[in-house]
Amino acid sequence: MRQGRYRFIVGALAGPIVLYAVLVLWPYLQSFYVSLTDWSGYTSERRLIGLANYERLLKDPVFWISLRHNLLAAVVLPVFSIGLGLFFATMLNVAGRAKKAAVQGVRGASFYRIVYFFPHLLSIAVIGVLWSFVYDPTGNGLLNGFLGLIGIDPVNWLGSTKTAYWAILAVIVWVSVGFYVLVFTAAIGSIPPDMYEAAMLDGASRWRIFWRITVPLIWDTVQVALVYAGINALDMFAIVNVMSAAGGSGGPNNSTQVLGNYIYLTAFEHGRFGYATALGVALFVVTIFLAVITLRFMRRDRVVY
Amino acid sequence: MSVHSQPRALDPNHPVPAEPARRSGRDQADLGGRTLNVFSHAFLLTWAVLVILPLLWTVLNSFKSDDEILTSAWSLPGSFSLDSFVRAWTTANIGQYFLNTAVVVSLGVFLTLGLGSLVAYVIARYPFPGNRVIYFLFVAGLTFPVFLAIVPLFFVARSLQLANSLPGLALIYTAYYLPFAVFFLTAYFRTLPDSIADAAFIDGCGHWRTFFWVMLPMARPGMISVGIFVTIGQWNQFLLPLVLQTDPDKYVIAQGLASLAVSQEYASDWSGLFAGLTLSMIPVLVVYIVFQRQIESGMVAGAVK
Amino acid sequence: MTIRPSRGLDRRAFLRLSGTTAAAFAAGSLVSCGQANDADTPSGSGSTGAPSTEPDADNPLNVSADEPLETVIFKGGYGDQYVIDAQAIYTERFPNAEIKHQGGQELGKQLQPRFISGDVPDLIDNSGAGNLPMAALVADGQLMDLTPLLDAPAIGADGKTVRETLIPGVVDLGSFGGTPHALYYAFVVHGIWHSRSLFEENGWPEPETWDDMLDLCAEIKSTGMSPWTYQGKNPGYILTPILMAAAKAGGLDVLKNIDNLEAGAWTAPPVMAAAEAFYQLVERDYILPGTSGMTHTQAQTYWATGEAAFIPCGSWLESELGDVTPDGFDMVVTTTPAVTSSDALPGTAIRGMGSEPYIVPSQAKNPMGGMELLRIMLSPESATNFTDQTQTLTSLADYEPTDVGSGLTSVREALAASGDDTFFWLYNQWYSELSASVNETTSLLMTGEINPDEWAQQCQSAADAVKDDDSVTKFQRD
Repeated sequence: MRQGRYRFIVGALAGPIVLYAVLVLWPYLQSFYVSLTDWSGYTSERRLIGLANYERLLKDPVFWISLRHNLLAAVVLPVFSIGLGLFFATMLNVAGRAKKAAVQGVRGASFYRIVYFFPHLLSIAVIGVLWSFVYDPTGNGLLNGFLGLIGIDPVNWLGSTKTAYWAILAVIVWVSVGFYVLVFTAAIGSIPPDMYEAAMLDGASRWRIFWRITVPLIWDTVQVALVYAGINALDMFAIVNVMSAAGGSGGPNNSTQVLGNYIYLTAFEHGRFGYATALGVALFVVTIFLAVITLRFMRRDRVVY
Repeated sequence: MSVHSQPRALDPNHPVPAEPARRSGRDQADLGGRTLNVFSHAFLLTWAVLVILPLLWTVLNSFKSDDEILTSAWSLPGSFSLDSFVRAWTTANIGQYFLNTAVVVSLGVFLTLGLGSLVAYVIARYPFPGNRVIYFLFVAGLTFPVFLAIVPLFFVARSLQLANSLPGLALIYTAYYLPFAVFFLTAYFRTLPDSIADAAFIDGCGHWRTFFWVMLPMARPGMISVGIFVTIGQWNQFLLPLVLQTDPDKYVIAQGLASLAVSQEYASDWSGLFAGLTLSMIPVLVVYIVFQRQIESGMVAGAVK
Repeated sequence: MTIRPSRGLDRRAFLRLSGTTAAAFAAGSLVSCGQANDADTPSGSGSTGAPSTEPDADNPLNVSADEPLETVIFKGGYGDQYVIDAQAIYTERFPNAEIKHQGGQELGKQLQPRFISGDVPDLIDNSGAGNLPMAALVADGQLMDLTPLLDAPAIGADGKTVRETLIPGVVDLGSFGGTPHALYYAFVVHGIWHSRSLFEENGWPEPETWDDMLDLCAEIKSTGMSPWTYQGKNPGYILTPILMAAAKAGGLDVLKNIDNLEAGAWTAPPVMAAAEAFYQLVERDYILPGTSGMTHTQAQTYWATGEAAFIPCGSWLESELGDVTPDGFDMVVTTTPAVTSSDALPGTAIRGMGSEPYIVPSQAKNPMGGMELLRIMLSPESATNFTDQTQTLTSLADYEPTDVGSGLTSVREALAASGDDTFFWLYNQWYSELSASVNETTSLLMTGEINPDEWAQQCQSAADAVKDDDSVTKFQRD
């Protein structure tokens, strides 16, 4: 079926691309220009200063600290949230007892599927408030109170430079696992059930089914989830902003500082839009670079069935 | 990672009884399955508790008095009071903003899914020169902090008459959520089997008809899961309306909640804050549960096909 | 009862009579007096709003009666009712002027595009999280010089100018390089808080010197209570008493050197002495465990529920705590104890600070209308209304609030005792990056990760970095 192919492609893409270009790409392109200026963000005047903002960036210790934190997250978060998400999705959708040769999830699967999604319903503000009660540094906190039961002294989760960043990463895992469960649930739903039934009849172990059927058949989705988790790890603005301090200092002493939050502070607190935009461009370049590498590295032949 | 370590964790003492005599593959799979079930049920349940607690906590706190919230954060409310709900409803104008938000989000989600699935379908299934470029153009939209584009966007929106207009805001939401929809739906369309689309073409369906009558119905679980995320994202969206909707008649719910959150910072109206959050959570929760059922029935439909 | 002590009143009357422009108040820069003498000719200097009528007693700012007025007010703990009330008075005066009012949060993001396009409101209360960065606006020439307002006759003050009716120092707090660009409507004092009833019950004295403080802390600790806590996630709170103690030890030059980015300002002996004093709280384990990880609400709640004896805060503390405070807690604010035996300032000197900075954009269509509304708000009538609504003082010196709680009473007493020795610093408003970095460094000092020497060195190098940075607009005070 060749005829009308290009007409269809053009017809399908024209509208969305125009909308996207005008409302998203064009503003971003203007931002790229701003990164070459000394714009404060609050006048109609801006002066071109060439690459001075980028020079400043290379010498800015906070930029490097933030970048290091982002990269750490880009390694840690996908492993935990996607690992858990994939595990739960498998349990909930195909790990149940095989009855009448039909695959199904464990008992109560739909209950779990609904519950796991709860953190996503909470707005970022309540996540901040909620976890400040969980991480309360005295023995009254939920977490410290629990640790107290097994004889561990209260930990100053968000107040110590050693634990604060990890405490925030844990919150992100907590929020995002449900997201990946849902994403993988949808993907697993598109796998023809007879593939599982055939494998089960052959006596393949669950473990084997997971690696030989589930993962290859939803590979595109896993890959996308990994890239998406990586992109989120390079953002993290909202969560750091609500959890590090009122107004999001990235503290204590930049120990939870990430690029997104640093850009925000630079633009809105310090009135340096030009420099903030240069930081944003740097973040963009790093993200695109990592996304392309991941997509390349993870590419597998499509399973056609 | 946790997935990976499963089989060893299952049976640390037995030196790999993995494939001893291969008596009956089926028995063995069941045996492994049973151990796995006990182990994984415990795990599933733990995670469920971890996510249910905070939600419960939010709802409970909305019934408490302010000093109860701060001094005994994890106890039951002394008496159930609906005051805070009334206060949230009136001071945060939640009723009026509810309606605005519903209009914007339903239109926004509809457009995002419609346009996003079209783009994703074309990218996933029609190789053509520039295909990857368009794909990465959309992926790039995920990687740049929105707040850096907000000033140029304001001027674009104003000149196109999109500011202070509910349909205008829906259009802007659509543009900003397209990258997410395209990214996930592209992967999803790739996982769908080719055979059915091919059959449709052979039957003489055109490109548009194939998309609407064959591919879209097959993609339902994916569409719904992406739809859920887009709904939640747009429901909670704060930055875009803050800058673009300055007319109080056009405010959305996130703006009302923000004013509650701010007044709580100064005057400790915590119960009002939690009541507002509970109120704003309910519609999303309802939508989610309804669509969660849809995903499940989508999976059943998949099983039939 | 007046808010300003009579001593201060006499002094100001004296100054006016003698016509001196002596450096009387804390900052030593009583710019006010010199210019106040020109108050009779409010020509609207520096204004862009074309006066349509001759100035008269009822309309000293030459507000055009028909010009619409637009206000954008931060709606936080104080609400915005007090502004709406003042607008009603404005409408009585100028019935034909249409008033557009908006109360909201995150004003910076809302107003940013409007500043760029030049379509700005006439009066803004630039407060709260996500406000507009003031120094950047000043550097861009976006804010009106408020001198016409300050030199206009005040309402209900027998011919005094607005400037003369304000608490001394308020004008300087909103000045950038000597030009008043912001007017802080509310006035707060910063200090160290304790529960008077708790202290009386235990026979604990209010410490006069830091040695007293350390002795008392030892005693408090022996009862099982933690002597100190602070709002750990916002280390600016604990930095405040450190700088207060430094200023009291070394005099106002300590603060001026810091504000003017002088070399060695942070490593000066009085600053070091203050840092060393507070570091003793860390060394001797006098701080509630976990404090550095607490939000302001957590720390304040623990303090109010008896986990710790002292907490630093501004005078909004009482209203912020609300119902959490137990009955009969009787919270009071005091200044910092003397950290040296030869402090330069009197023991009662305390930090005064404005809040709710009101600004008039220079691109405003009706800037004089904005200033006029502010003039109305600074009348005794409106000020009383504000204090009754918010339990917070305005920057107006003499007026009589009708409804005063225990916290506000102690704030008024402390302010009265401090009198002309009330002091402030400005670097945090002028250089937000320096402020952020000093705050974070202080968080390390108070967890013992660095010692006072390292703290001073790191603060100094942050200040030096700002000084050497050409892209930062510098301001001076004298």
